[in-house]
Amino acid sequence: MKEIFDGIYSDGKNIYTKNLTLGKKVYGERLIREGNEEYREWDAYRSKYGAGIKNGLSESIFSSGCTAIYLGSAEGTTVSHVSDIVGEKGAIFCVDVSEIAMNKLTKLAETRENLYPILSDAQLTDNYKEYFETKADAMFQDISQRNQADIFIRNAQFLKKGGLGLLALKTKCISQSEAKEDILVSEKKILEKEFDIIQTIRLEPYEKHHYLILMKKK
Amino acid sequence: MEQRDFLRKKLMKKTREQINEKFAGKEIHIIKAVNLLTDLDSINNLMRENLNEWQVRAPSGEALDAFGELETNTLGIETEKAKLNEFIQKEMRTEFPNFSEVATPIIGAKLLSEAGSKKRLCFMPASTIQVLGAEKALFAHLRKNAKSPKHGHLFNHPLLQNLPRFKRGKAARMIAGKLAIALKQDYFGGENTSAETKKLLEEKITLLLQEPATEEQKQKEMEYEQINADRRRETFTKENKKKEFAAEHRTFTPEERKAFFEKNNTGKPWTKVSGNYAPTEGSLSQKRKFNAMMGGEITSSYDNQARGAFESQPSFDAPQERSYSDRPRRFDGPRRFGSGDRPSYPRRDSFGPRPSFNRDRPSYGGGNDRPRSFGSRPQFGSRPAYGSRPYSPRPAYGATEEKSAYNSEKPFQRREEGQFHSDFKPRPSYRSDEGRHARPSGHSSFGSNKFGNKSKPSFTKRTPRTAKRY
Repeated sequence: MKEIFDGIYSDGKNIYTKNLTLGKKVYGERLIREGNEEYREWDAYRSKYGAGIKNGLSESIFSSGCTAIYLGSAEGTTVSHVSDIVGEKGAIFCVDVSEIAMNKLTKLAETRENLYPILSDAQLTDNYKEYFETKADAMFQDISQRNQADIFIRNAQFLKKGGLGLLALKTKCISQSEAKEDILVSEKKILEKEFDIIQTIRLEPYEKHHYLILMKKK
Repeated sequence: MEQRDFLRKKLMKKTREQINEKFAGKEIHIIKAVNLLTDLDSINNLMRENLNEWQVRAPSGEALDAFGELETNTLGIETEKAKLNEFIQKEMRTEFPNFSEVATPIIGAKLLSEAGSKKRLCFMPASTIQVLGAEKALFAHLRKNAKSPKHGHLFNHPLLQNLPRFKRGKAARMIAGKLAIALKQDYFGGENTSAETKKLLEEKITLLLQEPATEEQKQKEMEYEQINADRRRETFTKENKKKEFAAEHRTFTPEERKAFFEKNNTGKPWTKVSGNYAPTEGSLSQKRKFNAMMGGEITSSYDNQARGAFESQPSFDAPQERSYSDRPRRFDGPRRFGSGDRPSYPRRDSFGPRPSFNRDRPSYGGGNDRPRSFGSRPQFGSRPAYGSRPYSPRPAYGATEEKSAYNSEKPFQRREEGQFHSDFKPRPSYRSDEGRHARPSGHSSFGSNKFGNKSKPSFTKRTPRTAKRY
């Protein structure tokens, strides 16, 4: 097992994170024990962040002990791995609109103490402004909305200067007919107001019509 | 750290409260029920349709067993629908005493499911309620210059049913206004004044019905009725044709077959039937003949044409229809991307450059839309540019001859229809550009692989044996 990023391990084929809650699975993934450590396999087909790492992401935005914002946390598949990465000292603020998804996430948050669930629309930042007195180190967004880039910019106020941001851009949400390369260009223009773009990668074959954009806040 | 813990507890409590608030409301069950009801409707229709089509063909024996349960199942769906209906009516009357009376419970439930929750519905303006359920038309109106919708789910309201088209918009507006008031009464615990509002609405709408129509409205109504009549006529003829078809293609009972055989066994070669019975799955003309003998009437114009053909040419060989694979094709040569009338390959936007599997094949077809012609094949010794005109000049003196299908040792053979060119190269497996994008090994290739280049599962190193897996 080789550590490729902070808290992310690889055996040459699959990627893993160290399990924070020993012996517990979150979404039916494989658990592997090596010596005293237990690793959870990260399914790239179910996680865009995992797919990004497999497709050659240059930097992992999460590190152990960091404070992170996760917009569009859904049922906590990726969130569980991020929670493994940031460890007990870190914190992840998970924002989602769906009550049904949040119901599952709160159950996950009971066992993982670094999760902070927020049930709100990510467009309405005023709903959860009060919880971000200290700014976050990293921000990840996976929301399939037309104004994805706009939402990301709006939430950038909670990110500290020089903090890393990662946006999973679903081009099909923005236009069905336009070519995804064109959409990427126009979305990048919006993002460049607040961020310096470091890297963009495609998520094929794990996800179709998706890009992952790695950014640093100006 | 303590601060963090405090914040976490606060957030957990708040989200749990929000979730409970969402799940506590009775309206969730109403919404689920009404969505299920509409789904069951369509399922029921589909099943009924299939059932009827099968029953028309008079199945027997094993065929009957194969779908014997379908009929009981459709009946089961209907009882389920009745139950759901009852549940929705009951719940709506308790949750929305005013609103459900004015809107009728089922329409009310549909509006509720469209809005998403009780609170959202109750805070909606009347104009939104009026077009709830006609989102497609509404956004078409807002984006393009389409007409604005008059009514969404309200279209099925009993008060709107008997109104002419041009008065329905006004009536829908009235009803929606009253509904908005009724909703607010229900949300804030007002009195039940539904009887009065219903009476008021009825009066208003009868007044509206009595209003004389303007010239313009009359003309529009006339046009509309004309269109409607045309539509009705069309469906009527369609259904008649269906019935004719069904009558023609029915399978006959053993008695009928026997009768046919006895009546037909006159010794003429074309009426002789092998076996004891008339053909059950004979040619079309044979069946028509049989039908006519059994006293069945032939009415449609199709049949008259067929009969004419039959009389002029009495044989068992029915006028055979062309099969689909036998259809005339416009173009049989190598295909190119981006031409207008031919199917181009689907966009491969995922992995690298397109495969160049067609590039090495010679073009002996015409240009863009000219069909392939065998008469003017390109000259020996030169390969025409891809997609060029069939004729191309000999190479200049001293020029090296290009190797191609035309100057190879193998003589050029004319291709049989449906046979692939001998030089046909299969599409390269896209594994060849591996390394461009990381792919997990051992996973089947992305998308369908037309030419059977199935990716083999590669056995890479797994975790060492010492690893305990569970």
